[in-house]
Amino acid sequence: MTAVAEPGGDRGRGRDDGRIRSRWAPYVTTVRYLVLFALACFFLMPVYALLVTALKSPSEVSVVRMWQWPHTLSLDNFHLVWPKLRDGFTNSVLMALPASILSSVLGAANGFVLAKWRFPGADFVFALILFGMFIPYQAVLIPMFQTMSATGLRGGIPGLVLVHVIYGLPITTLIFRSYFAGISEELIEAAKVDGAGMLRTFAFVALPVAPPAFAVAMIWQFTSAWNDFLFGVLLTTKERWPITVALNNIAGSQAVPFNEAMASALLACLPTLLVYILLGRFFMRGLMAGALKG
Amino acid sequence: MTETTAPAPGASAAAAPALPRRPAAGIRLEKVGKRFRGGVDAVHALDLAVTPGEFVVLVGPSGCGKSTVLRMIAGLEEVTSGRVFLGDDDVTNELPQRRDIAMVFQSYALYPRMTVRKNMAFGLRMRGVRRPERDQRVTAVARTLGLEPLLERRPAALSGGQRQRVAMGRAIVREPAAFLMDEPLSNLDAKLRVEMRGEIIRVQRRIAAPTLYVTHDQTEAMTMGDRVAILRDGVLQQLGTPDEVYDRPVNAFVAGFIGSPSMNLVPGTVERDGDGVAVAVAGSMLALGDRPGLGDRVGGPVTVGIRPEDIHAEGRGDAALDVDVVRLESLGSELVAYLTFAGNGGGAQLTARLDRKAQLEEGRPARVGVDLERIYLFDAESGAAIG
Repeated sequence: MTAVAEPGGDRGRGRDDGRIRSRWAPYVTTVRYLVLFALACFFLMPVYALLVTALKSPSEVSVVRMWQWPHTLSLDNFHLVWPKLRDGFTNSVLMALPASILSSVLGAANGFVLAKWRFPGADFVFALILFGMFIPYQAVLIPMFQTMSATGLRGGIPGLVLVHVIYGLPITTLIFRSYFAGISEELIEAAKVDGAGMLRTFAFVALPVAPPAFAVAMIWQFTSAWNDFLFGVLLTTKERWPITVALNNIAGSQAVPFNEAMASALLACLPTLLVYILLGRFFMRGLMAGALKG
Repeated sequence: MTETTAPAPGASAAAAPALPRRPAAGIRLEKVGKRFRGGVDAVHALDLAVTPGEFVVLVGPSGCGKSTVLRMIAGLEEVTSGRVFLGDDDVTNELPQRRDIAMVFQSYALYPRMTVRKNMAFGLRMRGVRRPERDQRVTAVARTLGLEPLLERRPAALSGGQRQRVAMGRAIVREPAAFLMDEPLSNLDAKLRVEMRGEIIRVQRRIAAPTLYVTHDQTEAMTMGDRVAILRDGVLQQLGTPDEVYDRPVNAFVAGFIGSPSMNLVPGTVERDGDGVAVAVAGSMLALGDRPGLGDRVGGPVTVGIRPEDIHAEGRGDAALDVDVVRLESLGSELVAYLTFAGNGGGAQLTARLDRKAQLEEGRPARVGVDLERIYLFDAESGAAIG
């Protein structure tokens, strides 16, 4: 039931890439894309509701008409909620950026040593670090609160940054260890023979090829630090609350003003989106090209 | 053997500036051994010295421990017993970055995010050589290797041969006390390999640093080495000039490994032959006169070695063997014949390199000549050369 696609091929074949395909391929493809499209629509429903509600004028918002397209596009909701979000937004930026950068850099160092500059017991240490991933926030909440109070770090942004850096280390270590494990051993050895010690091998040879891992680690870390509510509300004072707490204060009241909640949610998720778009282009392959025989 | 130097593209001798010369140093291994965790002995008590300016090729089948030896000298592999000297310094326990050694890796291992210039300068930079001198030295080496037009490119934009050259350049520019090369040509195509073979020799002659070159290719060993070290299962079998290991192999393994096609090794028996001795090989008697070392072996088995190039078409050579022609391969310049002993050869095969005009036909019996004094004899059990 196969046929060779000839140049200028027959019905249903858009491309002449010379591949051998079943004659049913066009129908299979159509059905496949229909199913995928339907699923995509289903999963995008909340986003649709979020968008249209945020763009409606306050008077137009109601549960009955939540699926309707707004009569007039209005940015009033954003003007309305921005003053309530502004401080939280700033706090979150000041917290999430350093937290994601620091934990990625430290994770890179960990990952490099665990993958390429191994020491006796490296696997055991790695297992211990990974263990941290499976400890739920709630389990460490009280000791963490006490520690932060005792050290005077509770209440401010630096303390929150510290907590997120530490909580991020297991996953960033894992990401970088896997990434560096893929680097040729000979590359590291070449650096050693060339006279580079551990730090300079890390800095000059490993880090330059690590941007894809940094993209993954930083997107992950930024998103989880930005979206965190529990540590934010617990470890900071009112002036230092991150945006998630501000968002909760808007959405969590007795009567929920849907237009405000939706507009706030939209504003609150913009930075993570932005980070993804900015860093996503580093997901490229090919940074290692040319190192080996090829 | 010959040390033919293929003309290197983009690098005439006149244009090449004087490459740095270092005070004499050498590589010396004293009873060096390596046992991997799990008890695998990779290298046994290896004694080996590479004198200043010398090019020694370490050759052996894969898994014989030759790369391990190289890595121990570089410091990339721990030495479990014995000592490694660089010049007069005992570097056995020195970190690789502290040893003044440059290494060319099989995969080249170029730093992918650095330009050719930075790749080459990296070792100098790590050793604190200042920028102007770095640039000057990189430029000089790049010129001798024909790399100048490529200096600002990244490795990804280079061909395999160019990458190989950069890897060489990166090693040379350091002016190391010793050079290590781990099968540096194995990833190149045949033509480029021959070309780079000549170029490596040419460069090594000029910088005159002791060089240890690892390969599994006996042709590379024979054409490149001042001396050749043959390693088997971590044990050094023989160390000598290419002529020595070819003409006087110490055992059947070396005899079979060096030379292409490899030496024919067939079972035989020592017999008395008048005043002297002879070996009986598949019904033919090869009279060896008063060859030493055979007197007390009369009646005993030996392994008889005959190089393919010492077998001739009928009429030449001083003894004759009756054979059946199994297959003929014409290489144009010569004829490679695969033969079995006529009648009772017991399946033993002979390979012969004959004159292209030799009158042989596949499937027909023939008579070939052998040079008696070119016949090698080895102990049937230990494989050690006799006489």
